[in-house]
This record gives sequence, structure tokens and C-alpha cells, in this order.
Amino acid sequence: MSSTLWTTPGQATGKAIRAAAALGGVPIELPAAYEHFVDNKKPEFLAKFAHGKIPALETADGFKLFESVAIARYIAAIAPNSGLLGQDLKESALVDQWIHLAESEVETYTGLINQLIRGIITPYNKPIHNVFAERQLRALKTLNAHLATRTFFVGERITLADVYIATIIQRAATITFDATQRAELPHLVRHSETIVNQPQVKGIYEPVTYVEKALQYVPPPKEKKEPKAAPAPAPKAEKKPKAVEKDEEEEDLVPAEPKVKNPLDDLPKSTFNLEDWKRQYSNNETRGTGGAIEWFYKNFDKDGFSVWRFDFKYNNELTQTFMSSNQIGGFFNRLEASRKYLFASAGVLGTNNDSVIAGVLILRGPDVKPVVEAAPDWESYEYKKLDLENEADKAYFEAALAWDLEIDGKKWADGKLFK
Amino acid sequence: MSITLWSTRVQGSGKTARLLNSCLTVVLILIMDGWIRAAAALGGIPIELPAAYKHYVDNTKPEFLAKFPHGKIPGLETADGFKLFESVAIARYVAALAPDSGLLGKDLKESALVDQWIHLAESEIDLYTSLIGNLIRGVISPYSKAIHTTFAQRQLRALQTLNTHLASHTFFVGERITLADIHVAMIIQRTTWVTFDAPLRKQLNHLVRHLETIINQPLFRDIFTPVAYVEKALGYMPPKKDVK
Repeated sequence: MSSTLWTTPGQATGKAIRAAAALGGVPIELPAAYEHFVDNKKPEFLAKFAHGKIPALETADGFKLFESVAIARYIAAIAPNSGLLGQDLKESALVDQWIHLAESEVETYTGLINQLIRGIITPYNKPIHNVFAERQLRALKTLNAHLATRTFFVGERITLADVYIATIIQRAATITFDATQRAELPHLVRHSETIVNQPQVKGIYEPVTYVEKALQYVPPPKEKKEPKAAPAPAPKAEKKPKAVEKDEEEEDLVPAEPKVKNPLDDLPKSTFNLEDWKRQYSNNETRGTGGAIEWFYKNFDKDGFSVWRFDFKYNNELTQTFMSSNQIGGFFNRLEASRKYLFASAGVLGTNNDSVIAGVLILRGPDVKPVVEAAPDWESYEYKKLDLENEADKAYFEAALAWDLEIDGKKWADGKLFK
Repeated sequence: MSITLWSTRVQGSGKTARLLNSCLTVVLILIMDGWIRAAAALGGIPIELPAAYKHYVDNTKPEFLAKFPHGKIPGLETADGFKLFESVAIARYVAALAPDSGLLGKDLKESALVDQWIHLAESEIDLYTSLIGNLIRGVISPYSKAIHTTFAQRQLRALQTLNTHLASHTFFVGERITLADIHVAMIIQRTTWVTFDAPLRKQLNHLVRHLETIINQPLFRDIFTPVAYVEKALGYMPPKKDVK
């Protein structure tokens, strides 16, 4: 049973929830194609979540919840063995305490400052900006001092407080938490790096580009401007915030995704229709007469598409098979941008503490990288092109589609599809 | 078991009104304190207030900072020496000590909904009550009408969401009082002194009804101050010229 989390890949609060789910082994899925400021205004979304706000969660039994901290806490509570809420009521209260301090006195001001410098709150007002920055710094200092003698915020293990605060710090590091502050607050830097690099949350946090100097207000260009012959040089672009989008509330803060034409669209037209394949696969038996594999061999265009085996590189780090399954789900979620070019089937093979992740990809073009690099963690997997004329490759391909693959005696335990 | 709650105490609306005029931050503290004590009263947890706590004096002393490094109240210390700050964390802890009170709902899902409504009211209503209060009193300066308006609009959006929810619910979660009701009522009470004026109250009548219901619970009588609404949302109050 899986829950759906409405968020966007860049949303900080969504990352905290996804990380909590990954650590707790709670399966969550992201909706196939959520478009922020469009889908959350639709009546069907508002019928579920009246405030029209993301992140928002819907569980398999129809329970609906919004507000990021509430969701993260709920996810942590349904995985009590994860220890994410501490070992007892007191630790749980301390988890709440640190999250609340970081949210109300760090994250709030990251949001407000960001909106001021990007002209979402206008007019820009430097003294107000300074007041917000001072308030934020006071809380950062308290957090840093606490970490001077501790690895984690509460107790001796990762809790939700660590996940949440690391996420908040990562976001601040792109706006206010600059080199000067980082030199002054080294424990916070160490802590947040430790948390976001935990193997379980790999792929949720993209590598952060720390600001050298806290971002400042950039006045909008005057409307009547002489067209300049030479475009502005690079250093200016570095400071410029990513395309200004409507940002009406802190929880909505998501970096704009640049709309770049995908080079895969420029490949010569192919006779193989990936969408048709996905339908065939979903609607028919995989093997046998009239099955999806039969259809595939009849229609496949090996010039326009290629078929790949992929294997997880860190199988020795896998523990519970349901967590491994979650790992695949996360990878597939992050491949979202390549949905037009990719079909994938993958499985967890083996048993708890002795499992591997392997699967098969059918993708546009002759190379794997342009398609899978949409997922920041694509390099956690090894890719090998399959030759369907080769019997061994062919057998692997069919078994990975039919979910009866076996590797070194490890049997298929759980599978996921990307379609 | 008894608990010490480091905070300030105020009684009577007159005193509240005077404090409000002099320093909104203190009122914030009083109110946050108020709802923690209300939660404790309902759950039957005895809570003591320190005999003579003086805000901005005692919380800057080394012995206080040794207990609560952020120097912030409310701060809680239990008989066995456990220390906690941040109002929501304290209230949630106190409520969890009294599971029969139902303050956190009757199961995990209700408990998550309690968190949801508290978080919404805190981050989208109370935050702006504070910021608007800071702006109109010159705590954040210079005053900017445009920013004030932005904050008020954001607050209104959340007020409307809460009001709509209450149109078909007596309480925020389930059929009984939870921490969400207490917390949201206190946040709304704070707005009645700053932004929640007569036209808004007419538009958001379910929130008014809810506030009055919670505040008038017999258990809370000694803790909360009677509701005193602003007729018109407070505007900027330019500082008085220094006349010697």
C-alpha cells in the first residue's frame, strides 16, 4: 500500500518528507505529472486539500493531510521502529522543539528574505531585510552551539529533527547561509552534509551550490533600455535568482525548471511507439501468444530505441527488501522528466539483508545517459546495453519484464514499473 | 508529578490591554503561555509558574540560559529535570502526558490532523499577526504599507480556509476539543487585537463562534482573558516625538 505525496522535486519541505519516508521505509509515490500553480488550483485538488497547498499526502485508504511538518511527523509515526521520533516521549518532544525552532526562526526568514530580494514582497526594504537576517542568525547560532557537542540533535541516532533541519539549512545555503556564516557556524554545515549524504536519502537532495555571499536584492531592469550589443557577462548571471515565478507562500518555494528543448526530440522519427508499448505491457500477459513480449519483437525499432540492463551499484548496503523497493520507487520518481523516452521494469531479488536491485530499460536513442541523467542518482546504477540477438541477453530482458528474473539464485521478491 | 513553566502571568483584560499597547511581543508570550496552561488544565496535569519570573531580565541570566540556551519562553522544566522550549512542542508534550484527555485526537490520523491545523494557523496566521504587529509598532521599521497589505492578504487566505472548515465542524478534528482547537482559538484571539476587525468577523463568523466556544470552557476561565475585539484593524502608529 502506497501513499501519494503531492510536491515538486525542488520543494524543500517535500524533500524532508521524502527523506523521512526513505529512512522509515514508508513507500510513497509522487503523482505522475503534477504541475504546481496549475494542478493545485483545480477543483479536484481543492476538493481533497481545501487550502490548495503542497506538500499534501493521500494514503491508500483515502486519508488526506497537508502541512509539511504534520505529514513528516505522521510518516515517522507510522514507522515507529525507525526511531525518527526518538526513543520515548521526551525525545519526541525534543524532536518537536528543534524542528519548531528551525522552522519558525530560520526557515520563515529564509522564505521572507527570498521573497523580498526577488520582488515577490514589494517594495524592497533593506532595513526590514536586515531585521529578518538578524533574527535568522540568532537561531542559527543556537542550533550550531547545540551541535558543537553532538552528532545529532536528539539522542544518538538520526531523528526527524536532523532530517528537517538539514533540509532547512540546505535551502538557506542557497540564499542566506553564505561563506562568512558557514565559517562561523561549522557544526551546522557538517551536520547538514552528513544527513543529506546518508545512503538511504540518496537522490532526494541534489548537490547544493552554496552561495559565497548572501543573495541581495537585484532591482528589476528599467523597462526602456537600449538594446545592448553584448549580453551581460557571466558573473552577473550567477547572482541572479532563477526565473521569478509566482511565489505566494513559503511552502511553495520551488526553483523554476528551465524549459529546455530535449535533444532526444531531435532524433530521427521512429516506428516504435513507446506509449503503445506501455499499453500493451499493461493490458496483456507479458509472455506467451498475444502477449506483450510478442508485440514488442514485432514492433521494436532498434535504430530509434535501445534496451539496457541496469544494476544497483551498492547492493551490499541494502537491508530490508521493502526498503530496496522504495529505493527503486524513488529512482523512478526522479526519472519523471524522461517519461516520454523511457519504460523501465525493475525488481528486488533475494531476501532481507541479502538482496540485489536489477532491471531493464527500454529507452529512446542509442545512449542511456541522456535519458537517465534526469535522476540525480543515475550514477548509483550500472548500465549495460542488451543485444536481443544474444540468447542470454534476451532471456534476461524477458525475465525482467515478466518479473520472474533470478540472479545467482536470488528470486524476484518485489517489482516496480516506470511507464 | 508537577511541572514548572517559565513564563509570565497576566490577569484581567485591563492589564492585557496596557501590555498590548506597550509591547506586542509580551502579549504573544502571554498568549502562548495561556494555551499551554489551558491544555494542561484540560488534561489534569498540574503546572506551576515560577514565583517571580521577570521577562527580559530572568531569561537573559546565565542560570536561565544554562537550562534554555535560546533564552526563549515559554520554557518547561519537569520534576525530573527534563527541559523543553518552543510552545507547540511543550503543549504537545503536556497533552501526550495525558492521553485520556483526547487532546491529540483518538488515533494517529487524528493526531496528524491536529498537527496540520496547528501548523497552518501558526505559519499563515500567527506569523503575520506578529509581523504586522511588529510593523505597526515600529519594531520592524521603516513601516511599509504595501508590505503590511501583503501580510494581511496572506493571513486572510488562511483565515478563510479555517472558517470554511468550521462551517461544517464544531471542532477542528473529530467530535471533541483537541489541542488544535485551543491553539487556533488562541491564535485567533491574538488577531482580534490587531487584524481581525468587525468586517472580517462578519465574513468569518464560524471562526468567531469557535473562538467564543473554546474561550468560555469553564476550565479555561482563569487562564484566558475575555475576548476584546478591535473594531477596525490597527494601522501604523507613528512613534511619539520625544518631548521632554
